[in-house]
Amino acid sequence: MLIAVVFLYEHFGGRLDYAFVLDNIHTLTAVEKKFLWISLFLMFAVKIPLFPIHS
Amino acid sequence: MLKLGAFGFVRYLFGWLQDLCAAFSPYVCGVALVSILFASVSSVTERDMKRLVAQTSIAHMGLVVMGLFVFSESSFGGAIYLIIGHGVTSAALFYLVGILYDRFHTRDLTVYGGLVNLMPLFCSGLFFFTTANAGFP
Repeated sequence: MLIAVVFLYEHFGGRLDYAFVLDNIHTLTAVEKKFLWISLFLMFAVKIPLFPIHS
Repeated sequence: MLKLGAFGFVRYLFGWLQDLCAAFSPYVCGVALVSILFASVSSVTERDMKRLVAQTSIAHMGLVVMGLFVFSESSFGGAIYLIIGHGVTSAALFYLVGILYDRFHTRDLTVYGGLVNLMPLFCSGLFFFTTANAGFP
């Protein structure tokens, strides 16, 4: 989670509000988007918890 | 607290990166299926009532994740409905388990034999919320 948040913070110059990220998410490359998706997925999958990730 | 993860999926993954959600959908559904099966099989042999409720919650949340990532309107609606319903029923079940623990000082299911004779009204509530948790209409 922290890696994803720090990455977004760095990429968007310190702005992390939801609408701003939504408007500017297209500026990320495909690899960056994939990295962000996996980071956020792991973060929320632990929270849910999904079995192999939480254990 | 479990629902916070599902909210995160809906809010951030579906909000920001919906195209990738579709791409990863089969993998996520696979993980959710494993989670459902593992939690369900574990709960069959569980003797601790609190752990039993927790494991059924994990199975339910696996179903929620699967519903979200199937990408159909009805499955998405069903997942949201299950999030709300599970929020009520699991909280009620944990509360009822807490009452039992307060009375018996144990969460072992085998000790609760004949409970309906001691606490009939309580057992009615337990039955109601257990069936509600199972999705009984």
